Amino acid sequence: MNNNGAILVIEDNEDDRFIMEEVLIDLNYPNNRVYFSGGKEAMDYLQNSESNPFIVFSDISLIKLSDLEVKRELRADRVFLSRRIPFILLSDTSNTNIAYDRSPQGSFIKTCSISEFTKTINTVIEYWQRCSPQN
Amino acid sequence: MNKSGEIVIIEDDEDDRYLLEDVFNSLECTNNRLYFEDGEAALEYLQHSSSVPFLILSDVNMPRLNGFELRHKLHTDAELQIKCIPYLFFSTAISQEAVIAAYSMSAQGFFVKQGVFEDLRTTIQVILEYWKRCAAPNNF
Repeated sequence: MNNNGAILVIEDNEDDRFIMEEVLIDLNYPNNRVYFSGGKEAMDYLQNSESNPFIVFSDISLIKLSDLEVKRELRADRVFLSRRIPFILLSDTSNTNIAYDRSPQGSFIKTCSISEFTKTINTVIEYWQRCSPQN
Repeated sequence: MNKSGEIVIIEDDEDDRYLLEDVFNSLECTNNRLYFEDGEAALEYLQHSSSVPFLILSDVNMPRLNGFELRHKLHTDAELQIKCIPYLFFSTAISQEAVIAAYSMSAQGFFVKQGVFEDLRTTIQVILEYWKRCAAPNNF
């Protein structure tokens, strides 16, 4: 794992991307952020760039679109996991269909409260930074 | 996920068990802790217990059934609800092979066993916070 690597965010909703960026700015981690509107774009980035990302946050709704999309997104999961990059799902409510919660690293709720959401993102980043190996 | 369930700790070193218990006490952790000295004892408990634990914290190097073997057994044999318990590895000696083996099984965390109380306390605190905030982990 690369603690200094980029934080990848897979999110098609512009407002949610904006909130995520505000939260990450607020938390002040030095990691670069790279945003994608779908899993396919994130996978392309991983395959075509030299960078070794630290973590991926992905909106859960992006793996619910269609069978085709599901297959594609699940492949994205596997690609990231095989590179030992934590793949974290974010959802709007706790009522998400558990069958879609494909990440072993868990899914987390985008709460209405920015301060709670900030705490969640901070906890997730702290957790994986404490995991071994350190780079 | 049973967030009020017990925390299963598999650790063959008595000093490490004491240190961990001191840490949990200092964090005023409300989850009960259950300690096992080897993987087989933990497997026996997990397969027959009626309760669903919150977390499993597992040493890697242990007599009889090591941490990797235990996790593999749980994932092939156990009920779904047991498979879904976050399984975290702790080890003093972290080899590259061990880390790769852990992540090839989609690990939920691989931590260095810190001997310093404050360091270990912060790690355990972050672990508890992470899984309490998590909505639904799924191993598959």
